[in-house]
Amino acid sequence: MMNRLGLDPDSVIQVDAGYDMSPFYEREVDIWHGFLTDEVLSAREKGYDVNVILPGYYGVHLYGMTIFTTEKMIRKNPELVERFLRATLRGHRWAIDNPSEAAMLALKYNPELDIEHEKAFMQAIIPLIHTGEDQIGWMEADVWEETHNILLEQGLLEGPLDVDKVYTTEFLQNIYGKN
Amino acid sequence: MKSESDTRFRLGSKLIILFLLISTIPLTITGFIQFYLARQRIKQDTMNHLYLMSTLKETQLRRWVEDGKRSIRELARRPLIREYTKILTLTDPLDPQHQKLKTKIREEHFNPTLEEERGSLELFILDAENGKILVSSEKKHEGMYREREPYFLEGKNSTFVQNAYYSMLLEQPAMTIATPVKSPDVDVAAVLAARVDLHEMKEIMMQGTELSETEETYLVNRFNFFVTESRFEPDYAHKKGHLYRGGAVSPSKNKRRRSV
Repeated sequence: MMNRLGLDPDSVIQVDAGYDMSPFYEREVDIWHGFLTDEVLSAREKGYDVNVILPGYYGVHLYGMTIFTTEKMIRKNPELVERFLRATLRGHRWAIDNPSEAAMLALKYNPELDIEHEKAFMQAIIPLIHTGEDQIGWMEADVWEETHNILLEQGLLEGPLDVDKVYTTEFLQNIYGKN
Repeated sequence: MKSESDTRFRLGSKLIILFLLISTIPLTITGFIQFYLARQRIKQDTMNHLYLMSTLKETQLRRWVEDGKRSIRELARRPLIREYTKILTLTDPLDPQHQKLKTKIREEHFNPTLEEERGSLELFILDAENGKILVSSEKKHEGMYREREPYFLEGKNSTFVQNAYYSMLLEQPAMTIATPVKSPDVDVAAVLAARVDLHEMKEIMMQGTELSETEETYLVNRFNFFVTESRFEPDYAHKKGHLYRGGAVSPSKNKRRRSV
């Protein structure tokens, strides 16, 4: 993000950070990284009025959650892949319609979770899953292109890839009947 | 052995039952037909009412959107807006002239427009080159980039209304109208955008429903996204923002629902 904005990374002091947000709460650090559905929620639950800096508002666009499989599975069993995706999307729609029930489900698998936090999590994640701008799960080529470029810039890829071959909307097109 | 009076009594009972059946069956059939016809009529009346209301709401909403488009176009055509915007795109944000012009745009153009004309919550200008917000009535939004937003991409060519979407920044549904700002030499220098007040849309949707105890109207976009809120559960769209039960569904049970 700093690269995109032409800011010098050396103009800030970077510190190692784990999951414990105490240094942020105690104002030892000014900016903390985190997810809207996790760290931001936790800070708000503790009563802190945090100012959220969204990378998407500063030229960095990445997909946060993706579903992946192998080329072999797609080649040999495309129906299974599509059915899996259909079921996943149906689950998403149910959770959007029933956030409290979905939160309760999480407790079924981990009774130590805080139900209020899980409900807040659901409310926070719903708009990220369904933005009102497209169908759930839909992907845009330019975001993948940008992700690829960022990974290259950051040295996380050894070399350029053919972006069109690393993702597919073929199954989503079948599901939504979209070209 | 059965007596004669017993036989007569039985015959009498049978005749009573027979006559009762003869009179009840046509009555039941007639009642059922009446009930069926009445139900069909209520259904048809409700459908007619629905079509009428949806046409009416559509007209009102179109007029409201057209008013918003006209208002933003007028603002974008102001000579001073065009001149200041061109300078903003050419100068450094730290330049005192840049700062001064931003203040002028905010105080002399944006704020009076927001005060005088209902319907917009925020006005902002984006650099046509990169989608950066050069100046906004909400100062804290300046410097952000909206380069992928349809209202920015389409707004460079002509006046465009972006369908309701969830704004992560505002943490609520939003809708934006945008139009090109041409510099004095007629190049598109920037895009002027207005974030519209969805509360006004909600008021339009609710007009006429107050007369009924249970009836309500709300707007849902083509991706099942709540654009306006429920009359019975304020903040429902904000909290939920989505609808996934196929068509319109009432957030409150037993409330009459209407889909537009």
